[in-house]
Amino acid sequence: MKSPTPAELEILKVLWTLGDATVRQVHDELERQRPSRYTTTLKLMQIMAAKGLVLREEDERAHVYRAARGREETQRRMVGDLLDKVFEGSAAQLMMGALAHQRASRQELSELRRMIDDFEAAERGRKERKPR
Amino acid sequence: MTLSGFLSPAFVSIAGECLLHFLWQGAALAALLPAANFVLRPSSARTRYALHVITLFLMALAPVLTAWWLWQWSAPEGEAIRLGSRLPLFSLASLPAAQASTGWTPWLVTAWMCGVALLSVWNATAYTVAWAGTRRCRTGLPQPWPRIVERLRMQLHIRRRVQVFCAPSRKAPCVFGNWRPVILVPAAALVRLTRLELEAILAHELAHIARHDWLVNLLQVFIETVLFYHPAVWWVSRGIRREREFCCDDMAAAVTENRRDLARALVTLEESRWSPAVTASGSPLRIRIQRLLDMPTQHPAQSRLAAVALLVLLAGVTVWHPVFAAGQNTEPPPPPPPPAAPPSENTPPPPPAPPPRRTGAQPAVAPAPPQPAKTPLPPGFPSVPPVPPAPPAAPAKVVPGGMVGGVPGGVVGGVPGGIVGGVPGRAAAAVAGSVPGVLAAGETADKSEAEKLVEEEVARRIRWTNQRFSKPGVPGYTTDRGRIYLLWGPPDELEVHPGSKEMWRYRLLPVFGKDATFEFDGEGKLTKAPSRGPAPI
Repeated sequence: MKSPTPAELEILKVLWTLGDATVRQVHDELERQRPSRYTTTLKLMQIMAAKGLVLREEDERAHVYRAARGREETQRRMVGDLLDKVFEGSAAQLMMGALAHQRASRQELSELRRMIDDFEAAERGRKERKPR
Repeated sequence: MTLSGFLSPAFVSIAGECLLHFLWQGAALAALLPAANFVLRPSSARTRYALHVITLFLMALAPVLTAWWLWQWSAPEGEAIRLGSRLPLFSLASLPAAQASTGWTPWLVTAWMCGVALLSVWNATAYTVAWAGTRRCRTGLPQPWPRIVERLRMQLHIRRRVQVFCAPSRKAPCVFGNWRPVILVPAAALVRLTRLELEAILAHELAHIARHDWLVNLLQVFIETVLFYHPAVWWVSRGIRREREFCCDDMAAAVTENRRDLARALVTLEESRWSPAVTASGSPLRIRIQRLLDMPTQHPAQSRLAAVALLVLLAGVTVWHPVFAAGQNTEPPPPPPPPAAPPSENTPPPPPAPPPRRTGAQPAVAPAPPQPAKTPLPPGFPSVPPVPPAPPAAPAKVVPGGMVGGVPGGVVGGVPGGIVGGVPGRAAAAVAGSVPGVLAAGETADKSEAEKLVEEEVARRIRWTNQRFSKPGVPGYTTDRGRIYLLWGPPDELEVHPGSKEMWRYRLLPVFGKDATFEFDGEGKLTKAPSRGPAPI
């Protein structure tokens, strides 16, 4: 599960305070901090529901949203994601990977592909030329 | 003071020396690699890998040996010091505290320790992140892969159980752990690779496990942390990683009898993790593919350049180190050096012979005192090898009923107030008696030499007492202990009961004779002076 974006984090903070809330309630709360549009908030919350960041109850006409995970858990995940990003290289060095950390460019990759294909063709040619 | 202020000066001194010596040792060892390559012309990646690993191991060993060497030549047979409290292992009294605490050795050692600490924290975090990453993915691979992995494991003679998991978020396959190894395979690999290609990749990872590469890598990281400041260490380490991949490629190709598919798999995987942000930076992948396809690879030019660079570095450091080390010494190398003459040349120092001046030119001295070797000096006392007090000719006068806060049986000749530079009268005379190299006034061939030595010794004692015994408003050399130290140098034996009392024992003193003991209370005030012994010898 990915970390919430800053905008999504705002909405999550509101949900953590309010508990269960409809889009209207969340929007009203957000408007107090900064001008925003209802449609934007609605769109964001729908995306978050799809992502799994919030849970949605559709019993009544106005859907009720709830944060899927608590504040501490989300914070922990965000820290974890940050650490993963920061230590990606160093952690990779501690694991024996098939590929080196340095990545190849597109040119190099196409060059290498060509090398392999040429090699294969040469091999096939050699095999065919071998007397039976 | 600095972070290393709380460490004994002996440790700081030795550590600083080792760190500096490693500059040339590391360069020398690293220069051996291309030389060995040139001479031996190793044909297989395994040999080159072995050479690299041996070099790194020697690099790790070098500072340890240097430290041991320095300790041997400095410690006067390391006799234990009797103390009321226990001392840390490294308290070598004979390493000059004055030298270690001045100069920039403490800063060097502090900086090094800070570097090691920071790197350790960084690596520990990286390790935790990596480990957490392996815990996250626990979905096994679909059949027939577990069976194939088992078969490969048998072929490579791996006895430990290997687990293979599918890690959707990973970008490249990797291995973690040595005793319960785990192979993580990215989802992209399962999707994009053919059966033979994935088999080749798994064989490559299992080859890493068979060779215990993960463990060697961990040791590499450890050595890189401790010796982080030397580029040769990083160079050799990089070489190890490079050769390691070649070895595993060869091993995988041998087991699967299929070089082509491994090459293709590597390229496919690399393509799957390509992102637009990557710029052409000469990745190591090309050389691997070339090797797998039996094409000629261009290595050697790189190592030739590196060899030249390292030889230059080595020459530079060899020339520069003696100059640098000489600047650190606060005393001229010839006597009276403390027995721990820091090796100012790059050759190991000659064994510190017992002070050369001690050639029986003091007939009046009856019991030849034990060699400096036997003297347990208290920690931090500058090592002036205790010499028998001067023959009677030395004008070590004692003012009867002297100062020092009205202690009965008064003691301690007057110390001229506050003169550091000029040669104070009585103190100098007293000191002259106890400084080796100054036999008796008039007996040394070069009088000014003798005077210089005395001046230096006095200055050093004053400096040291100021450092050690000063209290706010009271300079060190005017305190009771300071005065005694100034006159007669460090005691032969020291007994410290922190907080309550302190006893200084001199085996032989001019006025007090044998076994003169001074007692001080917890504050450092003299509480008991030795009684006047038999006539001075």
